[in-house]
Amino acid sequence: MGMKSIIFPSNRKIIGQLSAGEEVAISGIIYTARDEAHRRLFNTYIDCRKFPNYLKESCIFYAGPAFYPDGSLSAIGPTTAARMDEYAPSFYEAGVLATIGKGPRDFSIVEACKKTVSVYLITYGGAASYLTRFVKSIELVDFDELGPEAIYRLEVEDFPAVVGIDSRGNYLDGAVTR
Amino acid sequence: MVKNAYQIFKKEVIKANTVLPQPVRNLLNRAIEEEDNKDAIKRLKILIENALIAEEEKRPICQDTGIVNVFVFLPEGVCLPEGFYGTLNMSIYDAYKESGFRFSTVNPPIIDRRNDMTNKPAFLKIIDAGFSDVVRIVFMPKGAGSENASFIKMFKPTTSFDDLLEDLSKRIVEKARFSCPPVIAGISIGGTFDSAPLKAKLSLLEAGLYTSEIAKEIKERINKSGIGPFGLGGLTTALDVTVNLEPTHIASLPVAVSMSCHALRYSICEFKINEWQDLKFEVF
Repeated sequence: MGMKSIIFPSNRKIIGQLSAGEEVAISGIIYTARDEAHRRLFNTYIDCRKFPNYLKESCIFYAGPAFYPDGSLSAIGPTTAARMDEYAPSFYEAGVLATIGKGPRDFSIVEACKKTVSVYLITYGGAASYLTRFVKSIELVDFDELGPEAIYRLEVEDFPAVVGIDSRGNYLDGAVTR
Repeated sequence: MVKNAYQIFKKEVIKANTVLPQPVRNLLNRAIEEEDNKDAIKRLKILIENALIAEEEKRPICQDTGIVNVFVFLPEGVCLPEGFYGTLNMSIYDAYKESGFRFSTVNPPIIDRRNDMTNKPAFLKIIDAGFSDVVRIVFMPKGAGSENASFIKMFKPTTSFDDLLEDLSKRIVEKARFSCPPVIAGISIGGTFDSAPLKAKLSLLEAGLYTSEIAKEIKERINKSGIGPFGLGGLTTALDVTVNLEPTHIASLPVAVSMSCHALRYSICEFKINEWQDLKFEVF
């Protein structure tokens, strides 16, 4: 297929080799976090420099999953990454190696990715039933009171994405706001 | 036989979230034929595959199962029975709870923003259907990605037609990038500050069914942007554009754009007036 495989947790040497425009297949462990979880993690990080260890060398998927009554996953897909722009540079600095979302982001994310050797990956917005096939398991980690906005640990296999912003300052047209 | 409104509404809410309407599928298939970018074709095919998986496995087409807009086209002389709104809300809650749809509403909208895990309330609009012998109810779940990309602008009434089309196309392109392209743009020109957004949203129901010269022109301009499916390049930035025109004030030119992603989800149920009057509504 010509897709490059990445397994999380990863390291900066591997992430540094990814190039904007390249299609990737993501496997391993990644974590969901979106608006409210970001606000909370950010406040803790700014106030007391604390950041969850599990997110270091890992990947944050901007997503809020839907569940069946038995707790199994019914659908998951990316949300608009731009809403997390004000928090993302700090999270990259704290050790997050990659974020997955949809849509263009502020130019400050290009600078943050370059500075910290990390990436922004774009996946298929609105194709939740399709994307759910690449998720092997899901488990609640933090902020359970937030429901779909809580942090979930996902085990993924060949989850498809495209490198939107790489670690060398290159980016796709669709990955950065004009 | 007395039919139960709760059961019917619940079925429609589930269908709306899991079965992509045929006109929207036709638009995707047409886009695949017209698209000249290989990667974009591959990505449009993912959207078709997504719709097939959703329907087969009864999964939501998109994880953002949104807020449920409900439009009731009510003929004159016919009324809304007691228990209607309660039945509607309960059918939405149960459909979401039982089908693995995401609870996406928070209340209050500021400060606490608490998700009470009900996905209530229904956003109900009653529309005068004039002289008709059918009550039509449309269920339209809509996600925030596209709702956040929707807008209204009060143009100067003297704006030239070309400037209007250019300004609108540019704005739609800019907003589409943050939504989930390929988009469907429902446009309403004229009316008032509050009528235009509603008419724009309703015009989405014409996508893939009916087009106009103005709509074609705007779609063409949008699709010159190169944004393409998922914003990753290609011809297909807009799958379709619909335009509604309304009379307006001499000093006004409101234009509203209700943006939808490719997952334009709706289901429609119709009742003859006698069926409607026999329909059983529970008072919840």
